[in-house]
Amino acid sequence: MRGAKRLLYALLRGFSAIDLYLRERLTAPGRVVFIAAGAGALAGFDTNQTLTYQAFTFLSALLVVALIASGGWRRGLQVRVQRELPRYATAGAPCNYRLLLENRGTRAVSGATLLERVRDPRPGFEDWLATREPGEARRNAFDRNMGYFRWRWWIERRTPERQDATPLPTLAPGARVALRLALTPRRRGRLALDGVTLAQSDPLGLVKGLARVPAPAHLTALPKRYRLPPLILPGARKYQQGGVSLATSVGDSEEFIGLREYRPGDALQKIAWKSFARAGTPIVKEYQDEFFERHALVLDTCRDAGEDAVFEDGVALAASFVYTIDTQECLLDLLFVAHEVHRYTAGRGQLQATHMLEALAGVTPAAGAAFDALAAALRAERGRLSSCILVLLGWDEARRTLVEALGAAGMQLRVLLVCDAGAVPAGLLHTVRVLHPGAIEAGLAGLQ
Amino acid sequence: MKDVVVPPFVLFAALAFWGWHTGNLLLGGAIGALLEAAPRVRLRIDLQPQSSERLADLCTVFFVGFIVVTAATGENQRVSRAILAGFMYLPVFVAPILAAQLLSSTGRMHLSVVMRAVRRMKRRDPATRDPLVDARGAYVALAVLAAGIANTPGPGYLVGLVALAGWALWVLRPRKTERARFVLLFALAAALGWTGQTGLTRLQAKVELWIADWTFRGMNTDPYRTQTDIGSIGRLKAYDTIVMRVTLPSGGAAPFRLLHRASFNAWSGTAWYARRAPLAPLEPEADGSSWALAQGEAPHAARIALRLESGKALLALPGAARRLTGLPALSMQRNALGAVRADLGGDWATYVAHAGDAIADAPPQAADAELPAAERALFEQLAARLGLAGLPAAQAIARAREHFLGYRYSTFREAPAPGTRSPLAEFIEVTQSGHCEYFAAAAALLLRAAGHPTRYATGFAVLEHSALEDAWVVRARHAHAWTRVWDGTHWVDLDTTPPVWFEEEERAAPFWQGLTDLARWAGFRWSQRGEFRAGVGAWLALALLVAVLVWRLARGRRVARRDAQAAALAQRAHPGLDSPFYRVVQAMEGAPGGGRAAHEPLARWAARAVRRLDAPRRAAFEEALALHQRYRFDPAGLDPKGRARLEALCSAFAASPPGG
Repeated sequence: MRGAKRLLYALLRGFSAIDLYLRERLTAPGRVVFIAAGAGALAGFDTNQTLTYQAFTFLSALLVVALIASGGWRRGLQVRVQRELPRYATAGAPCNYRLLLENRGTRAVSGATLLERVRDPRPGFEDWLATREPGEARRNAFDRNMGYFRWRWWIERRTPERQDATPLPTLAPGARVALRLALTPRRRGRLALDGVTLAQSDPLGLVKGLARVPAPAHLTALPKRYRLPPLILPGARKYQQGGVSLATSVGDSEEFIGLREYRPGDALQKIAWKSFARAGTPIVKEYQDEFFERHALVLDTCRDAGEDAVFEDGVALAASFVYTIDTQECLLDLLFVAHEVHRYTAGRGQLQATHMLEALAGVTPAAGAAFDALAAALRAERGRLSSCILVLLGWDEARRTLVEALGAAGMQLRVLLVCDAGAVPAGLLHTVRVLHPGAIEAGLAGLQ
Repeated sequence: MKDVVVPPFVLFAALAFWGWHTGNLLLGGAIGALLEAAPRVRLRIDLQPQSSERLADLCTVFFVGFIVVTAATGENQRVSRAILAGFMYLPVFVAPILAAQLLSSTGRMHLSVVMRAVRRMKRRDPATRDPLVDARGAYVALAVLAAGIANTPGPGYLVGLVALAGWALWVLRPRKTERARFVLLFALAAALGWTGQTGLTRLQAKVELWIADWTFRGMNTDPYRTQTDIGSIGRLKAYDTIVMRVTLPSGGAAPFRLLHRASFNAWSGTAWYARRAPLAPLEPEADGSSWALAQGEAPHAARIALRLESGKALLALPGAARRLTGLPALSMQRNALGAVRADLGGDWATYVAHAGDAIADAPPQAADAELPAAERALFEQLAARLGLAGLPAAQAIARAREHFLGYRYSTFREAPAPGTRSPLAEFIEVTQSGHCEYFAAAAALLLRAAGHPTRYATGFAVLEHSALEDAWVVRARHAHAWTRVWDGTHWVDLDTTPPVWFEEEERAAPFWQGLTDLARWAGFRWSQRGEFRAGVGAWLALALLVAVLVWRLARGRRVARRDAQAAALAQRAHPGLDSPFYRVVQAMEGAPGGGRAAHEPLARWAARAVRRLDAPRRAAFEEALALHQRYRFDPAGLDPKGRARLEALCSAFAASPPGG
């Protein structure tokens, strides 16, 4: 069975390689000629029955001649590419950037086009075997076993939307040109680029000669975000051990409020020695504990259905909150599960919203993970939290218990459940707001 | 993906080319002219996506229907020919779809119009990419290929194809291409194409020859010469292809154990020849399918199905054949040595062979007694050693048979005969082992040396009965050779090959033979099916099928479309706009600071307005707002009870607004 899967994998890999080769190599007329040659071969298999085998031989000869003729233009071609790529983009939104091209060869480059080349997006055998595309369970047994759609889905989510080749102006030797390009990541996550491919058509206009220039780079596509209504995050300020500089100092930190005379029992560490010297009597520094708002944003990643629309909208929703909540005046904890519970804190002296979005860009469903671990982590923090936003992707007893327990503890809660319109679970608490993929913004309209 | 820009008039030229080759020049020209005119006229017709898809589906129905009707009613009912004919006319069926594209204001069409897979994907996920494409390039290619299906002889097709491609590529060539370079490369491709197509034709001829050689091994149709494998090195190849099926009446199998095809009277080198035995035409009886071969009683009969090569065959007949019936041959010929050649057409010949008890071939001629000089000494010595000289034919036959019983059957020969010794001499003097051709040739020459006329006979041994087919099957490896001896009054068959030959070859049969036999039998039964005549029932069934297809395409979609339209209308109507909560909004207009600004979202207004209400009104307001939100946005809607509650709350609020 595994051997058959290996063979299937090898076939898919080979098919993808051929597909990519043909896409890169053939011009639009070349594609028509290639398909017509193939159709001619099929219809002309028996040379006594039809004449289409003549079309096959002639069109194939055209392609072969064009392929050979397309190779010449690369001789002496030396091009340097520098890409000014932003660090972040947003999934589904075009990302504009500049690309500097310098002709370091001895011949002018003219009539060429340029196309970005992404890193090989094909999955490894184990990845292909283990991953499930969203909605795969609904496919028939043949499609599930062949894994072709899974293969396509895997590749598509790792490649940007298809771009047209950018025509290059004529580049004299030593000349430079700056191009404005755009690419649109299809999904959140890291997008790795290998370099650019320069292409020039052969004299017959059928096959492109290719020159691959390495220029590795990458950008992170942040999750898409929804517009949220103005949010008022209620909740009392809580004592925060360590103060605002939670991450910038070692040990505990408190807010300095002034000096006072020594009282018996004061710790020696608190004596202000300079003031003691000036005043002649022991003076100590007085500190005040930090109290401020801290909110938790919990993304329920414990989902077995893969990265389907529900999961992606859940991530997008969490990203929308991260983007919208002003963390200058409060702390925001982002919690989710990926093998183990991850917690990121944004606020003054802490991570910035962009870092949180970057973390969300890499979130994957934790299939089979226990929601209990996430719930336990949240319960442990509840003493320090002013409010909590729960983005749930499912509803069961564990989730109900958590919501009820947090509510009973007096925590201000916003519970959002993302689920398909036809799969609203029964027994929802009235505090749970149900949102459906494709209608998230409408569902958020009444959120306060 | 970029579209292929088709230069002006190439579309017309391609269709005229198609019309010229398929014999529909007027039709092709007319369609071409219409399609060329479509983008140039002012008239624009933009079909709805569903209408475009329906048009494409209708064209598909006509295309499939054409193939079905052609297969059912055409002169040649072969399905493959009907499919080819369908594809030949495909440009006609596709023309309306292209015309719709060219008459649209965009001049392009959605990919989903012609690709049902994209439609399905769109139904699953409305965000599926469905780009606008220009199908003209593909259509030109289709017309050119369809022209090739017409199979018009001569170089016209390739010349036209090269001219069309040259024209289109010249116009589309990259701007900075040197003209001379383009011409040179294109000419090179054309030359390669020409060479390639010639090579392909020759290759196919060679492959066909090889296949024919493989498939029809033992089906030699030459009555004048048979090349033997005497002297061949290595193992004799055995092919298990079934070449004949014999249905015998129970108990009457003996006259049909050896089915004779041709006899030869002259041995030279390693081949037998039929000298002075020209073929003479046979005339059928009155019914056109019965043929008299000899006079006399014919108490035995068998039905024989014989595989043909290119519609011709040397018929396999019992030695004592008298008459053939049920054989509507175009022509039949027979020679003096008993070979009967028939010209029939088709893949199989079926006939009933009637046989008597004795071979009725003409008496021997001088050639039947000639000993070749190269072998004379060998066989005269052997005849002398066996004491055959002067013996009556019956005793000489018995003694020869007895002599060869001491020989072994073998299909393997390791090396050529050493020195000047002939293969037959080595067989007699050294190895005393060989296959049937050795035995038959040696016996024939031995008896000639003893003064008895003989012939070398070829045909098949009928020894394998198939329970599956309930008939005797004869495979290519059952081809056999034996000797015919003149006993003074008749020719008699003398088979000196050791009888173990059949078992030995049977053992060499592959283990999957049973499975392949099943497929062969299915193929044979298919080839024997009667002519299909579409009766009323068949036409009714066809009409029903077409009706179901049309219903599935049209009616089924209409239902789906109505649902979709209703959903779209419902979406456009913004459910919940009739909510009584808007009366509350109106009622609050009069309250100080309670009016909703035109730009203000309802949620923000409600958050502002509720602060101005006293406690009881606030509770009612909040409950009404929650019910309104559910009524407005919850896909499940609001149940009647909830609606009644909302109505009651809003009515009460509107009746006594704050500040009213």
